[in-house]
Amino acid sequence: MKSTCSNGVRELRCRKILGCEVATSIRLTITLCKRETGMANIELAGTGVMQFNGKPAQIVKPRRIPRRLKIYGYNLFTLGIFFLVWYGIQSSTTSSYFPTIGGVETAAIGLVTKGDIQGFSLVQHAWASSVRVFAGFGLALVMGVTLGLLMGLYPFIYENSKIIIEPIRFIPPIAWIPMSMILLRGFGRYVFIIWVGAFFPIFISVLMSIPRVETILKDSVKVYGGSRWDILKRIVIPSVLPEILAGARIGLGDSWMCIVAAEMIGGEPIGAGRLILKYADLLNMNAVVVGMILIGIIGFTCNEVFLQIEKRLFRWRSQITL
Amino acid sequence: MDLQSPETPVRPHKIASTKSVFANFHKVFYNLLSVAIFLLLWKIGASLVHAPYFPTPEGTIKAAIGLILKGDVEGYSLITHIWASFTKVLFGFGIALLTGITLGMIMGLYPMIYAASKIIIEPIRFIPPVGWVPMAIVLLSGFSRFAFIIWLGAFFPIFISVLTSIPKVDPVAKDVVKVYGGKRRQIITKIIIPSVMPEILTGARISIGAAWMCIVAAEMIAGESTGLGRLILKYADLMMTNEVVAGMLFIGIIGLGCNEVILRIEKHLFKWRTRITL
Amino acid sequence: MPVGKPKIEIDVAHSYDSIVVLDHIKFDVHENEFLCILGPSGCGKTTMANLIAGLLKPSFGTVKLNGELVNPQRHNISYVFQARSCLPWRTVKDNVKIALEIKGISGPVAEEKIANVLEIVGLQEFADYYPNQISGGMKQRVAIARAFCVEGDLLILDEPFGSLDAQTRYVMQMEVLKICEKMKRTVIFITNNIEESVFLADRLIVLSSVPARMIKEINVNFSKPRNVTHPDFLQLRTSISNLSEIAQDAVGGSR
Repeated sequence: MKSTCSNGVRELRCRKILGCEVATSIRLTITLCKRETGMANIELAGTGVMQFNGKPAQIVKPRRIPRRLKIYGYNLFTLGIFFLVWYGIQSSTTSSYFPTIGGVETAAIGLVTKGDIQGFSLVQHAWASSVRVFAGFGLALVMGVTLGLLMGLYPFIYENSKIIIEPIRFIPPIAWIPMSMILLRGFGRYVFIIWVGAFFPIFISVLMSIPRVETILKDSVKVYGGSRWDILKRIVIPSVLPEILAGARIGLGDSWMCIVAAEMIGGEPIGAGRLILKYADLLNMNAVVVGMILIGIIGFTCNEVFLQIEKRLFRWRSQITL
Repeated sequence: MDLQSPETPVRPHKIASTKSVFANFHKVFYNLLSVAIFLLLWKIGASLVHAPYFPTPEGTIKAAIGLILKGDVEGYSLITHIWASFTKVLFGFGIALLTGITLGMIMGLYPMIYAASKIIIEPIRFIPPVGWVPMAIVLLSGFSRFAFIIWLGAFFPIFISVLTSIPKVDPVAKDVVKVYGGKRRQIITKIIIPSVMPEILTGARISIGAAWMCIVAAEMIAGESTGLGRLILKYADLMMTNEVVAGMLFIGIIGLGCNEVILRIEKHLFKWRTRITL
Repeated sequence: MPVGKPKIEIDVAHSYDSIVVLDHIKFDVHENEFLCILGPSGCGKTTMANLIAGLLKPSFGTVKLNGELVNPQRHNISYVFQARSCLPWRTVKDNVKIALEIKGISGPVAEEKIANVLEIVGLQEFADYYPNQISGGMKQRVAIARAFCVEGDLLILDEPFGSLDAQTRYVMQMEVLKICEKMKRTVIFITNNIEESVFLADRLIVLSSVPARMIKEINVNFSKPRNVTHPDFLQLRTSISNLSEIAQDAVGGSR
């Protein structure tokens, strides 16, 4: 018995055995319609009852522009539109302070090579800001993780201190700036601000993730006679590590934002925040844009570094969030 | 064996009992205890630190009462300040909500658009809203200055929320609509939108926190004469730390209030959810 | 044995990228017939179901319903998914209603249909509950109720009782038979449980593991409801499991 299909599947040989249709030999020749892309003939041959050549068919994929390249192309296109729009606005705007494409370029080159008006180089600004961030962040990390673990493992303390912790949590770190300006000086001031920015995301992250550790994992240690310390070391900490890093990533972002604000408000002469405010005072918008891009790049790099660490360390996780 | 229901389903309502009332009382007591401990530690800390400007608990309470009743040194009442900040926040937040949800939906449903515009979106996302403040000071003025900053802060959490939650919609749910003959529009209205609503609200909650933070920063740097950010900076200039702390507490409480409001809305609307995150 | 032009003609082969999932499957389904597709887990049965329902387009071949290419927007197809398909944000009643909403049926007519079908599956008390308040078996019953409230050309059930415990399973099998008795439908029931298929089917198609092909097509002529301990039943059941064993050995073990 032969049967043909509309798409070219043919030659199914059947025999009647005991009243049932049994395919004794299947010769599957799939001829794909010849499209512009040009596909190949596939032949899956099998003979005898229940014997089948189990190799996957080699379907030749049509030659197409790889997706990645397409996305790069679109991105360049969007970038082009962006510059076009910018040019449009800069030509039509009446404000003489609007940053121009050319102006930004010149300012960028100037800042990178010569440094700013007071003689500080761009690198110095970036470095100053970064050092402050790392110091404050490190402290916040250590304290956040410790306190978070403590309160997570003994939820009694947290539940009953909520009335103090919650309002303080919601005071934006930036609101601490005036206070720190009065009470602290110099480096300590900045470290404090950053600490406030980074501490709470990390703390809350750890706190929230400890109850989420699956009981069944803890039980598997308990059943083999593990002590509380064992459970902590072997189960809880590896489980919450991804969340801690995610919280740290967010905390770092917040800290970065705070440092820029702090530099703008209370300043030392160096720091990325101070840089852009300085030039804004001088109405040199082009330099301001350069400074903004610098801030953005640093923020982006920090985020990326964390993301990459997370990806490497936590291959066992099935999804990473933005 | 009951053929109709082999397992007992959960009843939707709870009955209050004396036990729960007692437990609540316990909680209140312990909370008050921790407040007391905190105030004690603060007092001790204040007396140990010999700085003349260090805020003290009594000083702060006095300052807070003073602010509420009499207003600040320049004569603006507390309400004026709160109102000034709040209106700006609401306005910027509203626009951010609209734009964030719309753009998020469009880019979520047509991921190619997002992939293609990433080169513009990502850098802007990473420049903190405070970074835009100097520019906003020069190029914009008045209300629009603040609205812009707040929009920057509030837009991205919602946008990213919506964007990332659309692909996570359960494909089986989409198939249900497809198999009964639904078209794309119906899939969007009946499945995608109800699915992402919880995430949108969570994003909104984060957004309003970010918006609140931005307004305080913007007021400190740019400011008009009113607004909570300006208030605490003013007092800091005058070295009146008690007032500063009082101001900070007000800011914190309002932020907490906004968060709670949205959290309650979430809890009420989404009874069908099994788990709420903070 | 039902005669006449077949209601559904299936003649497909399907591959995902370069892996062949379904190796030329061809069979017909007749009006009001209860057809079971039996095969080991992971052999592509869900793919088969999606192809028949028109959710997936076959790589090669066609699926025809009443002579035209199957199209869920034109034909009335009901599908009970293997996975939980209860929409968590809708109550039980609204979950059943969504099928009618899409088809454009509303008002008292719809209400009556919903009440009717909820009564048949025994969920009329739970009409206002949310899916997170009811058990697994009840969630599947919601899906079944939804499938039955629409006048259908075809009803597909993809391993609907797979995640239920044994007792609930027996109960649900009896219920499905009862409902199909009452409301005549063309049914395609997919399962990996041999006893279930012999219990329910008018006709059985046995598939091998991936790449899936038809091993056997069996007509089951016992009258319903069937007695699982009857010697004829057991003999047929054994012959099928022998069949499957040979199939698995030949293809190098089950996958």
